[in-house]
Amino acid sequence: MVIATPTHQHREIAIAALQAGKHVYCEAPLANNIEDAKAIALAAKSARKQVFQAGLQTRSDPQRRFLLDFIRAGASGKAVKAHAQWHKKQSWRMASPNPARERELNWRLSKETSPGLVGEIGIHQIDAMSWFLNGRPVSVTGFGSIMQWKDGRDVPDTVEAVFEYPGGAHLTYQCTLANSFDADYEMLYGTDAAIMMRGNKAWMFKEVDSPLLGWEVYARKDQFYKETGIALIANATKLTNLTEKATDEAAYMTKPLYFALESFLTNVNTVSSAVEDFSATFDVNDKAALEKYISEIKLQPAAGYQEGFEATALAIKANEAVVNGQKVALPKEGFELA
Amino acid sequence: MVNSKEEKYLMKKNCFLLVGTLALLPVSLRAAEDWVRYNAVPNSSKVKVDGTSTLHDWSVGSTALGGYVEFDPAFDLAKPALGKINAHCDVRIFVRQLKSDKTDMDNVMYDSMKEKDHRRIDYRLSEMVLKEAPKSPDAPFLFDTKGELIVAGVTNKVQMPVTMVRVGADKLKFAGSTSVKMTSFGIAPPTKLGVFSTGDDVKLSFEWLTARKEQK
Repeated sequence: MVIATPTHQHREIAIAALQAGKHVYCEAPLANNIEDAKAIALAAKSARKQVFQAGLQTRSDPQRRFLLDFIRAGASGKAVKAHAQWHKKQSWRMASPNPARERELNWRLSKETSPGLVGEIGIHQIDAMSWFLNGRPVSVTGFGSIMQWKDGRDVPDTVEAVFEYPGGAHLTYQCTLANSFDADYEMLYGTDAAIMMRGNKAWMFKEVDSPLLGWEVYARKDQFYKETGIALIANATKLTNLTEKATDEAAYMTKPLYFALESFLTNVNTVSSAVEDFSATFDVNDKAALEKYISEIKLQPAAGYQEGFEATALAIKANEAVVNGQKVALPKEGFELA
Repeated sequence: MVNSKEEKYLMKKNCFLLVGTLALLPVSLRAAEDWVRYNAVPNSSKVKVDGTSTLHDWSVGSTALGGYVEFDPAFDLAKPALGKINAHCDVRIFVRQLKSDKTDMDNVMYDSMKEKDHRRIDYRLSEMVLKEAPKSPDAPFLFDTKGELIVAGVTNKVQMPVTMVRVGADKLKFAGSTSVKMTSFGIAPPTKLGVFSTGDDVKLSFEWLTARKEQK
């Protein structure tokens, strides 16, 4: 079951589906409040024979998984800061001739039901950057205003949030519905190189004093104003990819959602066939043995209930900081399920 | 319409058959009850299939090795007599539980093994001969075995030496390996045009842990 309803309606559907024995893909954020997100995650945790996937699509994206290994291997040096943005001039409002339907459709524009821009859109970029920075932030400071769409909404259309990570690195996040310049991208700044991720493409901008990696001499390069970006493509060090011509064609033409749903379907098939075959092979009453067997199965990369809960809790706290214009501390207990 | 003479004859015949069946039934049931049964322990076994290809060697495996082994009560683990052992053994594995590191290649393997029509690999023991008894409690029993291996719906006879060791008070661990040809089971070695082709010979190896079934 794929849950793609308004965020505040996820809880009831997700829990009913899990209790009915269904595999569940739940869009991110899991919920618009922490209590609901926790209830969904705990229901998923106890449904051991089922797949639960949180819709954090980038966790299944091969291009980002390739970048993750690359970054974790130290190719950009020590991470000192990060930046992500999402700019698009649009109202975020949907039209309907029926006032009641209009209200229902525009749940994103009301504080009561909406986790705001940072919660609905930022969650994916912030989760990905926390993944690359290999940690969870310890605090978030937010700012938000209604700058363009003064149409009765009470959810800011222009927001900024600064996340502080252990060790002192900061991620600045900017999102607006009032200007489209430079669209959406994520940047990671390291002592040896900066890495820019735009959709399904990525480039590395090296410092002059950074060590020579070797392969980058032959790699494809693209010009960005005064900078030269070295294209980062999965398997770029393989001979076949070194000769690739610079074109607008991306290494991965499909979007992260495709990979996330592909992972979900593959994992559903793997887990349900494991349950079926195991039950036909061993004692069906030995639940502990079955759970152990399932836990050892290699699955396709995907965000589970824990990643889904952590990202949701962070997005909700970030939205709280934005709405109140405050700094909010993020103790590690806030990310724990039990 | 059956005449009365014939009716009587049929009744008599049926009675005889019934009595005969009842007389035989308890004996066979009793015999089966006395046999010592060991059932496969989940998550404690492994089976591996190793093969070659023009690109690189490959390997698939699983831990879901089910089934049972039963011994004649005359077979005494403490004082085993060399020679033929009365034993039954059925081992099974579901094809789609065999996995490698590559999901795409697993699907090629399942198709080659006609998984949709033949979901299981089965092994049935037909003969077990104890060649060497253990010299210490931890040492292995060495058997020569003959049995039938059923893969992709094709049955072939296989012979292999098998070792058995006692694990704790109530468990037995079996291990062995044998080589088979894919084509002998009607499986065409998977190929990808111009990329690779796999070799016909594969090596099967296993470690199988069983636990004594609790007596009721």
